[in-house]
Amino acid sequence: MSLLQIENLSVNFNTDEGTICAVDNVKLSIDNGQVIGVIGESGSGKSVMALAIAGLLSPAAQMKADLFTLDGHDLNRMSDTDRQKMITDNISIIFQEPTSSLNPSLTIGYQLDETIRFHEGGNKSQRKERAYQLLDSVGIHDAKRRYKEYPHQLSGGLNQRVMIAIALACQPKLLIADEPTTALDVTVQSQILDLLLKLKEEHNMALMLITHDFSILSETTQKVHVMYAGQVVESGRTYNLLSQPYHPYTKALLESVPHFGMRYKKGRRLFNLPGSTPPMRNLPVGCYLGPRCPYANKQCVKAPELTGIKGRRVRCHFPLIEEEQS
Amino acid sequence: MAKALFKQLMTLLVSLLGLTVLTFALSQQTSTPLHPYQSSNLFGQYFEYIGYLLQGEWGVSSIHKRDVLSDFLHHFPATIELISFAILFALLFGLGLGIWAASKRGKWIDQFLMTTTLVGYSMPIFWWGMLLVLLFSLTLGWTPVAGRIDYIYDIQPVTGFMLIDTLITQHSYGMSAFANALHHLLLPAITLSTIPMAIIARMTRSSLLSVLKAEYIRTARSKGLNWQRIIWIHALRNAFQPILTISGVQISIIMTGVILTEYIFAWPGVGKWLLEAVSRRDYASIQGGVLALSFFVVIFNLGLDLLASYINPRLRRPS
Repeated sequence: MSLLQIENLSVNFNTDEGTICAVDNVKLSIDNGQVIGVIGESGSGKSVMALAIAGLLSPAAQMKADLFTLDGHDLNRMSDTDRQKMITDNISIIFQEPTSSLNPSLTIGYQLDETIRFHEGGNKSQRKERAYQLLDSVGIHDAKRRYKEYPHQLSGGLNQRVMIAIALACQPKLLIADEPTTALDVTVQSQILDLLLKLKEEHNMALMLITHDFSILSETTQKVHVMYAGQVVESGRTYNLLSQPYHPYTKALLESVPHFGMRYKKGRRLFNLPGSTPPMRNLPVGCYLGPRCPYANKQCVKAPELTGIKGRRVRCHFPLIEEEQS
Repeated sequence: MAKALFKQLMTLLVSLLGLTVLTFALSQQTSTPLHPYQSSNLFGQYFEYIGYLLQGEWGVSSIHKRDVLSDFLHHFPATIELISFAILFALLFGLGLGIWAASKRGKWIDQFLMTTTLVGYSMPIFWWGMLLVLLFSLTLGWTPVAGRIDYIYDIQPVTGFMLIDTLITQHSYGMSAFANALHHLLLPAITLSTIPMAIIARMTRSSLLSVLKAEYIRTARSKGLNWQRIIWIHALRNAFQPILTISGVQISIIMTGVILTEYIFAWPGVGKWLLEAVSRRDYASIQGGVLALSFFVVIFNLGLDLLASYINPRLRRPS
């Protein structure tokens, strides 16, 4: 059974210039212990979607979903406080900027301790013991010293480990990692990813990895959702999707990444889509990718639906599948 | 920490010296010098002036021939009493209203509070004080019109602080004298606290609102902490920095306000004493009073800086 099941999740922001639809009818499901990836450019709505799932949207946002179940409970039918409790008990989230995600005027220990107190309870020494244990499990070995320190005394990588420890203290069934490594340098990136995968096994958590880096997804995830302008444009098993994208946008994303060892002719430019991501308050008619899509024709002024093709879902009138057969 | 403290003390010393230059210039305005200077040039006289200040000889009033420093110290406790209550009110209600407005952001109560504080902020203190007297003392009769305590109580000044003196007095009416003194204190303190309270409330609101947007607040919410805890522990601690800085500036507003307030309420403090000195051109008292009050402001600000570095761990170690 699915741990998290979401159908037609939409998030709208009412602004002075009209309603902005940051997440548009997203369908998503995650099984226990599964690792899924969400990929997209900045502003594609992936972070807003993560915040919506974690119940952390600002009051200005309006969220609705036709179906929103977590661990078999229908969150749509719960009161606000019950839903919040359900979500914080089962879902943890870590963010892109570890250092600004931790409170600068409280010690690491305090911030960890208050989480443990809220979720596990126990007396002061038990909680402290548990905090050391958590810090140790995320690879912070001088836990006793770090416990007393402030976030500004730690490096970004260490702070992200602390964030992970705090997330673990909630004993989540699902950990959402919203670009967890974007702000870190490359060696630390891989350490954090390895740590996340290791902890996922140890704690039997599901993991939702949000990123804009295909190389991270390819090694770690079983399923990938590609997002563009608030919509899921393609989703499917990671290997299939990366090796043979059906949606023009997925293909363009993949081709815009240089590959090590590949020979590029001198003077050849990396592939990129013309134009840039459309502004959310002024989306094109029909297919949102339309104006930028190299394969677009006049049918693309009608909005495509997400349709299932060969175990994948693609939002395109002309999926690249025929090309392969001809 | 020690290095930071040293740095703070050095700035303190420099500002104090700057102040003495100012009051020395002021004391040069009189035809008869305040101190018997040996030196004939201005520079030498300044060093002698510093020497006199350090010995506690701040000059003698040309009007009533009393020693300026002891005269100041005699009046100072009344002022301290008044401004401590004003600061207490300003902080208590300023913070409270600011937090309230921030947590009701955009609702009518927020807009009402912000409009009210804007009015409070723009209120001329002499007019506001008289309005309060008119309403609460003369029309409603809730508070005394002026003074520190009713004349039926005979309280010996021991510490000079009326609230303390009434408590340690041997008379049987000590407690009722204490209540009476508090009663007298209420209206002047409210008058004096109005402007700083309005400023602190607005600052608290805007600072809190900007902190509530921070990512660590999102983290705190994701932990499932309740709203009170997020405001009081996570947000307010970080919002406090600008509030403290603003409060430090308020002390100089309060010091100017106290002169007017004491005059309105016939409060026997430094402000009234100084205003009388000004009207009589008592230069010795003026320069002594100005110097002492400025010292007080500077030292108060140093205290606040130390408090700020205690609250904000990033300031503890200069990087």
